[in-house]
Order: sequence, then C-alpha cells, then structure tokens
Amino acid sequence: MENHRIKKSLLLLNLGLSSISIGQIWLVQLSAYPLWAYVVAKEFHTYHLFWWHSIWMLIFIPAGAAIVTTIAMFWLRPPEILRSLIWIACTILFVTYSLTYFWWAPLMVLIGASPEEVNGILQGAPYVSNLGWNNETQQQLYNLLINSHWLMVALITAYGILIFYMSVLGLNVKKNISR
Amino acid sequence: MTKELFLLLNLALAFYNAGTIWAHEIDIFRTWKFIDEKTFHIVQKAHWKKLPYWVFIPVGISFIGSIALFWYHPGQISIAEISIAFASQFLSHLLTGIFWGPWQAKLSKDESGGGSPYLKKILKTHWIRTALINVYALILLYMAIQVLS
Repeated sequence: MENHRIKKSLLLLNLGLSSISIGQIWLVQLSAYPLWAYVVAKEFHTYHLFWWHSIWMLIFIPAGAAIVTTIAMFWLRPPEILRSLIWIACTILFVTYSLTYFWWAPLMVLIGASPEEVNGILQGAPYVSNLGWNNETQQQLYNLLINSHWLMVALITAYGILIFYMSVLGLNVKKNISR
Repeated sequence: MTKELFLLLNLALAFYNAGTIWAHEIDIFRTWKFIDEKTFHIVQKAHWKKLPYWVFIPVGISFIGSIALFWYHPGQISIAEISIAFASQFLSHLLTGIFWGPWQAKLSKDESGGGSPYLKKILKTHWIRTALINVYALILLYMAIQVLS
C-alpha cells in the first residue's frame, strides 16, 4: 500500500474508533450509570462487580487502539493535518485517561466496594482519600461520579469532533473528488 | 455537501451506533440478570426512556443514510457494496422487529424479571444484532478507505 494511502486509512480508522467511544460514553453516562440508582442494596455489590469486569473489553480495546493510532499519526498523517492538531488530540487523550486512572476508576471501585475492601482501595488511590472523599456515603460517591463524569463525556466528545475535523481536512472531502 | 463528506458522516454515525450497541450488549443487558424482580421493571423502564434520543434517532438517521447512499455516493463505490451495507442494517432492523422487539415487550411484562426466559433469549442472540451493526460500520470503513485514501 502506498504511503499516502496508509496515512489516510489510519485517519479513517481513528475516526471509527473515536465515534465508537462517543457512542459508548454517552450511553454509559445517560443509561448505565443512572441505572445504578435503581439497583437494590443487597444486589448492588454483585451487579457492580459484574459491570466493572464487563467494561474492560468494551472500553480498553477501542481506547487502546485510539491511543496507538493517534500517536502513530505524528509520523503517518496526511500533509493537510498540522502536527499541533495531533498534539491537541494526544493531550485530550492523556487528560482523559489520567483522570480515569486517578479519579473515576477509584470512585467506581469505591462505590461497589464492601466496607472491608474500602481501605485497600484507598491505599491504591491515596489522592481520593487526600481530597477528603474517604468518608462519603455510597450515595454521595455515586453523585460525585455522575456529576464529575460529564467531564469525561465532554473530553471524549471533543476528541471525536477533533478527529472528524481532521478527517474533513485530511481527506479533502469538501472537494468533490468523485471520478 | 459533497458525496465524500456524506460518506464520511455516514461512517462516523455507523461507528457511533457500533459503540452504543456494544454498550448494550456487554454493559447493559448482561447486568440486568443481577437485578431482583421488584426492581427489574423500574430499571428496564428507566433504560428505555433514555433510548429515543441517543439510540433510536441515530439508528434511524443511519438507516436513512444507508438508503440515500444508493443515489448519493462517490463514483468509486459499486451498488453491490451499498446493497450489502444496506442489507446488514435492514436485516438488523427486521430481526429486531421479529424477535428482539417482541421479546423486550414480553420481558417488560414478565414478573420473573432478571430470571425471565425472554432475557435469556435476548442475551443468547443479541450478539447477532451487534455483529450486523458492526458489519455495516466496517463496510462503510472499507468504502471510505477505497474512496478517500
């Protein structure tokens, strides 16, 4: 495959991956998380544990592939796409997954944790404890997650819009190139 | 709007739908079996209330897009490719109308909630719908690579 074809195919693949992430994140924010509020207390631990394990493949495969393709675009991108745009995309991804690691993931685990598990989680995520969120009730942690997770929705959506913008620029779709 | 931009919009929407269907397949439906009978219908009702804007409208637009592609597509794409893409979406909607839709309706009235045989049927077969929506997205990606790269 010629080099310019690889570059444009990579951009299209990235557009697909970023669109998948937008679809997932909006549905998770608007449907999956709000459903937690309806799950009865005695079922919650099992429900949450199953949910936590189920999202690994769903989130990490597209997210990992998006990170790889975005980094690859530093070297393999159509000439119309400025390097600064790739930096912006990488920054959005970095902020998104750093906050996931340091903030949303520990919060999610804390919400579903049994009292015996809480200390172990806080040892692995001391910043959550340092910020004073260690004595909250499950309901308060849940509200904190739902409210702060809008930031992740915004970041993932912004990333998708940026990749779409890059696609419009890099693939010359505004010019009619039909043969 | 150029034909190429139209194809790109269809591609983005197709993958958005692939994202929502994966969230349903792995994240939402499978957790329902852990909800007790009393709560189940509240959860299901709350879930369906959210769907019109974030799932049904994008799926509807994507279906209209797959039909519009027959008349408005870049010259390099053959009608055969568009037909295969359309068939995968059409089959997904047809099977939803015949199986998953009625099963969901029966599930909403079934008092056994998470233990319902209709939920078991949905969990056992919904991957077919997931596969069809993904096939549609991948065909569009193939078309876009052909035309735009």
